[in-house]
Amino acid sequence: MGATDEQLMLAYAAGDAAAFETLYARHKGGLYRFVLRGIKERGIAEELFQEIWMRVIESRARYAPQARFATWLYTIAHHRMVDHWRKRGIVAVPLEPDDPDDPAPNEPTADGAREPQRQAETNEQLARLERALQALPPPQREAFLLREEGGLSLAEIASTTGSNEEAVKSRLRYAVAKLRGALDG
Amino acid sequence: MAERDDEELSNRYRALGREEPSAELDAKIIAASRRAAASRPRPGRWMLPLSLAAVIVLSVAVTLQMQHEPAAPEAPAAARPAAPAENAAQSVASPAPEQQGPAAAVPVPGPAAVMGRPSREAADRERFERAAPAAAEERARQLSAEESPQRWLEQIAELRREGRDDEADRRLAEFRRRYPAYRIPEATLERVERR
Repeated sequence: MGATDEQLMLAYAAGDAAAFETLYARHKGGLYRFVLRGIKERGIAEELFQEIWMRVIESRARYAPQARFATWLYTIAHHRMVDHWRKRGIVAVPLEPDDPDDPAPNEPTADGAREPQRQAETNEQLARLERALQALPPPQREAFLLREEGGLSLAEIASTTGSNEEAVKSRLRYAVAKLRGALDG
Repeated sequence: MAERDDEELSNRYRALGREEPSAELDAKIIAASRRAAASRPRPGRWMLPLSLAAVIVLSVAVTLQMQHEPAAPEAPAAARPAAPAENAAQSVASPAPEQQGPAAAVPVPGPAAVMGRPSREAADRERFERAAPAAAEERARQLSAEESPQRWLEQIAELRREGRDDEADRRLAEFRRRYPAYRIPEATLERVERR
């Protein structure tokens, strides 16, 4: 049994550098994908990702575990994303082709070549899913990503985005319907 | 049904890829976190002003306390001579077993202590316990007399009536020092001056 996120953050605020590294290792993947899929431009996404963690570091002395650490972390991320969207106008992030430098585990490999037709279908399905995700209005995409990557509950998503549970439920319902529609082709 | 669909969607979503930040990005963030943890500037920034404020508050509190101090020790000082005087005259008995409190510890047992009988012990204790309030009353009387010259003169007249002339003289002299400009009415003068 390791320390909770909240204990780690308090330990880091008290000067324990190793506590931050554990915390970072736990959340870096989810947060990175949350930002990357919300922004879709790798360079900007990495910049925002770094800024979010810098904000965590700077705010360590003010951190009070009133909510889960994840909620606090994604609230910081939400504010950075909103700033980013505001600069660009709140519109759906334009569709872009997949980054060729971005290796995905489901890309055809020597092993995957055994079932070429099925693999091709899966890839096509995933490509549709990714396009549908990018086509979602930012608030719907954000709600879906907060659930999938942040593991946040409805109430936590509402708190993170400064919204209410009903609105979040509605955004998720729309997002899920569109994404499922994309999978069905 | 909806939950199974959601789970299926989650699985598909995860199949999109589990991208992670680059090692270079990790290193940058970890380095920044270590620098911050090592510097820990926040507590230091307000520790010095806080300590100074604490010293100032403490100094002011002590000064104020000292200004109010003189009134307090006078009451025990007045009580002190009365109690031992009586105790010495009565040759105080040793403290009884039940006299374990601080008040019981004040009278110092004399050589006759071992010979003390319970009845005398009780009487002495009672006298001792009464001594402090009596002294306090006396002190209160003095204070009220000092507040009003007329009352002071009345007390001197009282002493004179009781034949305690020496004490009356002393207090009258003290009165005149204290109120050099006070003109004692003729009728009062007859009562306070030695005949």
